[in-house]
Amino acid sequence: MQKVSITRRIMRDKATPLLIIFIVLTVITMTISSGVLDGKPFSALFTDGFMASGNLLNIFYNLVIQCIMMCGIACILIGGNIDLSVAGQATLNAMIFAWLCQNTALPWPVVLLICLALATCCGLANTLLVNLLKFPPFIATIGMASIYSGLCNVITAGNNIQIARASFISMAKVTLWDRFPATFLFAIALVIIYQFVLSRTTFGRSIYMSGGNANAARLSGLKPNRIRMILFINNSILAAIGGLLWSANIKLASPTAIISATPDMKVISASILGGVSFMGGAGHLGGALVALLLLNVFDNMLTVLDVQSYWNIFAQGFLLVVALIIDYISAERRRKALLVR
Amino acid sequence: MERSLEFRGIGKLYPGVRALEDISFKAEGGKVLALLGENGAGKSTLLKIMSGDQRADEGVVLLNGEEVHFSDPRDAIAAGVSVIYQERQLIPSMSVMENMFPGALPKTKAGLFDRARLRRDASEIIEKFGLPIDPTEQVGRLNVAYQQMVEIMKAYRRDSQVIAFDEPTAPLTDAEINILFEIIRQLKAEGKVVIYVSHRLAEIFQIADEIVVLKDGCLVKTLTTAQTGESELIHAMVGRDIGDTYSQLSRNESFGDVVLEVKNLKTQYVRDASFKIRRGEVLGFAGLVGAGRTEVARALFGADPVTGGEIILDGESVTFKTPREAIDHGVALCPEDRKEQGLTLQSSIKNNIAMPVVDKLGTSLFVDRTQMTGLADTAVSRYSIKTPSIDKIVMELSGGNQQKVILGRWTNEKMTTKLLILDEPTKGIDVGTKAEIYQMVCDFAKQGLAVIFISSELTEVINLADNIVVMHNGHVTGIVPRQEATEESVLALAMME
Repeated sequence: MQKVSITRRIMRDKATPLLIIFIVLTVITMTISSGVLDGKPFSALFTDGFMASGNLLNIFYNLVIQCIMMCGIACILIGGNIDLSVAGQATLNAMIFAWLCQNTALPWPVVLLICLALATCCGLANTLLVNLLKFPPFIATIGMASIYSGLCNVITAGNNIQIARASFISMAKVTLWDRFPATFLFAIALVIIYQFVLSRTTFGRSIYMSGGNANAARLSGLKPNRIRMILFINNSILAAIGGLLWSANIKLASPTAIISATPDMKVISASILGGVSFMGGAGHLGGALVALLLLNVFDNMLTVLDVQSYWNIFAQGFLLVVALIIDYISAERRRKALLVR
Repeated sequence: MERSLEFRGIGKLYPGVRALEDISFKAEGGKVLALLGENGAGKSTLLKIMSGDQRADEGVVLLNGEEVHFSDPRDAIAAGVSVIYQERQLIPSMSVMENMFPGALPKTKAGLFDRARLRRDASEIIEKFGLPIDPTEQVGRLNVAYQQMVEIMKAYRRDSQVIAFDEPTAPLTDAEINILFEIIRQLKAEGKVVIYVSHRLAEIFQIADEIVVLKDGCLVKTLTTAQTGESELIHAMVGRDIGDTYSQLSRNESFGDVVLEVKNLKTQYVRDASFKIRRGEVLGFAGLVGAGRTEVARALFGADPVTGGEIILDGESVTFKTPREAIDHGVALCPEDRKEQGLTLQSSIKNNIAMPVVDKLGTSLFVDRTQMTGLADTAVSRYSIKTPSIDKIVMELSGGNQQKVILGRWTNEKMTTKLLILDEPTKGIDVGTKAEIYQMVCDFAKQGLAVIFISSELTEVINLADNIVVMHNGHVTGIVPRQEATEESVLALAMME
């Protein structure tokens, strides 16, 4: 019996080349940003280069929210679905949170619970459209995204709301070792836990199964509809947490900030780049995380290089298209393997 | 206790069609029961009812003498009934072992997924089957035969009491079929109920103990293999003898001028092909799979680029860069893969028939719906396509009727087809419809069409075609007239040994 060796597995993994690109890109960015090329001392890297604390912290704060959202979206993609309403849900929850804090005397943990309940409802709404009304997830969630973003603007007539709970903000911004955000550890822990669930629990494996071939999964006695519901609700809760952390960072809830920053697109791009299949059934969060790091360093590199920021958006889209093409080709190969000898 | 699966008075209604009517029979443990019938006879529906995928409208299913009601595949599996479908129900992106245990992955004491145990359990079964498969390999990377084996092992490890196979040998080679039959005999020896659905009569005689013949949703006959013969089975399936189908064909006897001449054709896959075809002639193409027959057809139709040689159509040297050009010159292709390349499955009969001529119906901007309906109506009545309406979605038709829709597309009065290429037109089609298609081919020839008939069924090619082009490894190795063709001589050319 021929065994697939671990080295071969690593070589096969789509995340491997990404990791290499990530390291190379980081080194390039560091070198350029340190100004060594212009004759500055290497230590400038830590004062105003890539490793300067302001720059790094910025990356870390962004990463926290993206990692949290990624845990939801990557699972949804692996399960063969998609949710494009993440930014909308994050915003809605942030707005409701801020509004309740401002207009009621409830302690913030209670408000938080209310928001999580609301998030569960959002997830249920998506599930309902897809499971019962048989909408394709793509269409259903685009529609919901629009509803959420519209609602957010309606609630405040387009205005921002201050987060009137200082204790919440300070909790979300607890730092370790001087300035390092504690939430980053939380986010990384979350990624590890989710990957653990995906690869080491039977529920996790059934997510892959129903994503890889929903009909086969159903005929094997799994319940793809139930799995989809859990994934949607999970995703909505993580989206809500992401939205609240975002608002805590900027100390206010804005009806447009999150949506216009498109963190969800970035997370979907990263997941697919990192080997999570857009067609479902394949990938892991490790790959998605590497791709997410890569995208952020890439972003930063463009900034460091003083490239006009619009190119940034272009580059992101370009990377997503490339990732989709690669994913399509490999999914097509798998599909053909089932058809022809 | 004796294992058995019994159907009692099973009936199933689909909108507008009665799929099954009063089906009663009993499959016993330790025996292989073959389910035989033409496409659309109701075999698949019966399997779906068995697996809990669909519910019967009438009647009951008894497992080991007790009434069972499956409302979900999960119920059937739990009760020990496994159906191995023709379309493999595998998850290509996942490992072999996980594909063997979906919905039943082992857990550690802590409730986690127990990969090590899964691997042990899977290896044990794989070894028992004597297969060289790594349990951690991705299923999508296995070849079709091994995928099929994974599917069987999945049913086996569930300790199913009843295992049904739906056309399991279609993708397998002879050696692999032997392995499969060995496994089926093992299941039989273990006293399991085995239900075997197949088109291939030879196989049924090899493996089955009892045979249930279905026709048009009704049970025609229950037979014991030892006491029946091939002709009786065919008679039961078709309702008439088709032993002399070929001698009953009314053929075209008069050929016209040469329509197409191909000289030293080369493509990426075809090395050297030269042949001629006249008006009213049926030119057969024989050869092993991969000999280059389909590729010749694709080159003639402008679907593959031609890299050398010459195609002369009606005395004029042509090179088609796209199928559109070929169609405009009167060349039509019914491709080998009906569902993937021949039809838009989600679309209606009407739309499928009008597809290549839709721009010729009505004025330049608007489609003339009356004309479109007319074309479809003509095709349905001319080729007796069995359907309640021309608006029916093609996917819901049987294979034979789908093939007729494609033929209707290329031979309607809006088309100027002079060369009709049929690539495996009878693949997966039942015996009765096959005979109809043979007569249709002869009728096309009578109307003056030149017909290229590609088939892997040797008997069919030698009996239907006026001349037979034999290919091997991209080369034409011989052209034999029907009168001189025997299975041996053609096979010798096809194998070039």
